[in-house]
Amino acid sequence: MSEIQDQLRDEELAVLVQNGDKEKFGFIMERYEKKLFRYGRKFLSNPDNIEDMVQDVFVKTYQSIRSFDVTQKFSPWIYRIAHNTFVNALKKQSKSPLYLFDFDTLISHPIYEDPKKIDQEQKEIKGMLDKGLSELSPPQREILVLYFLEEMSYKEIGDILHIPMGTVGVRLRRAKQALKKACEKLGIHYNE
Amino acid sequence: MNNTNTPQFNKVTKDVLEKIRTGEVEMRPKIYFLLKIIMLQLIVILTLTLSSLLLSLIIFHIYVSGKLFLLGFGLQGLFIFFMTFPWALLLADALLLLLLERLLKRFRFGYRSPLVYIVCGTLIINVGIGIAIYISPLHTNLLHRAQQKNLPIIGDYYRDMHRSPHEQGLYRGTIITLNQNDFVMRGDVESGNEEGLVRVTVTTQMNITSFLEVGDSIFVAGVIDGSEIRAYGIKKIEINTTAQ
Repeated sequence: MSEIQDQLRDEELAVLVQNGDKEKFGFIMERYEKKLFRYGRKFLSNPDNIEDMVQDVFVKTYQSIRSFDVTQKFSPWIYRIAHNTFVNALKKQSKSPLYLFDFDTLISHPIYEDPKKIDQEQKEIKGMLDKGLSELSPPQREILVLYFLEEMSYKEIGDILHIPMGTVGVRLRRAKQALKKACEKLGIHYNE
Repeated sequence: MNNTNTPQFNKVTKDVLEKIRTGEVEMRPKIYFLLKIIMLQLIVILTLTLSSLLLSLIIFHIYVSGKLFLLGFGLQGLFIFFMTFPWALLLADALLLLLLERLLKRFRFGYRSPLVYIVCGTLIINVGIGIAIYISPLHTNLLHRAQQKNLPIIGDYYRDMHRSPHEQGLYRGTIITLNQNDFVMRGDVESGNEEGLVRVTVTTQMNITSFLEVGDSIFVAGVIDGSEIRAYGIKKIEINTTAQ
């Protein structure tokens, strides 16, 4: 029985839940629990109430699951709910606005993803994330986590953050530069 | 009771699943989301319509009040044009466009496109609809109703709009007699004589008989002294601002 669930894609499980098979939602949660814990912990820099927040994400996901468009991918959709939940938590903590007007969303930016370069970069950055991430701002942390840890594409990140794909590239480049600087400050070299 | 039919979930998953089973957490019906999208689309259409209406009103305002003609009256005219421009309407329109941009960001095409494309697209549609409304007889008919005191709420605004800004030196009238360097007009000049007649003398080298005729409706930009205006600019009104 459990093997059948494993063969179903997220979107297929979501359709079953939409049609009233509540139990299938357990398998969706099982697939995303660890991922959302990791995303939340890195984005919010180890909050105390991460368990409550992830639970809140799942509750909201279940309540809204009938608004999920089954022709789209499920993961950016649930990550968008998680993003909103985590941003709200950050807003409660901080008085200053988290996302000011982003001039990078104004014009279109060229997108270039070289698979070889990405693979090499993945290894380098992943090694630095644990050490340097807490030195960065939440938006910078978030885009690095989504790209390097959650291994989302530009398109998926754009759908999660509600920004154009070109802006994802620009933000990611800036976040990597900031991470590099933070690591240098901590005495960690980029190619370690 | 661990078997393949009762998978072992982690605590958070178990807790949420329990809430679902007991009915504490329920799925919202599809109609709820459908209504939300329809509401959003209606608000977008309403905002765009209102914004286009405002834009058409701005164009109508500067045309019907004669302020547009000020642009042809040199620096002095330009200065008065900016001083009397309906900035409040433009600000309201800009706020509506800002709201529209925010609303469009809720749609996939809205957040996936760079802001410049969204803003340009919105402006083109806004200006297109605005001009279409301006060309239509809507505002002219409303003005006509306002003049007949048959337009509640916005009637005063339309009447004021039609009154040329005397305090800024712009007057509307109809030519009664015409000479080489001056003419007499009957207009909406409060400082004119009892019959509303005022003499207009031209301070520039323009040959007024070459483009003006008795009976023409005109705008005069100048300085009034009693029942005489020293005009530095005259423009014939080519459009009909009365109702069809």
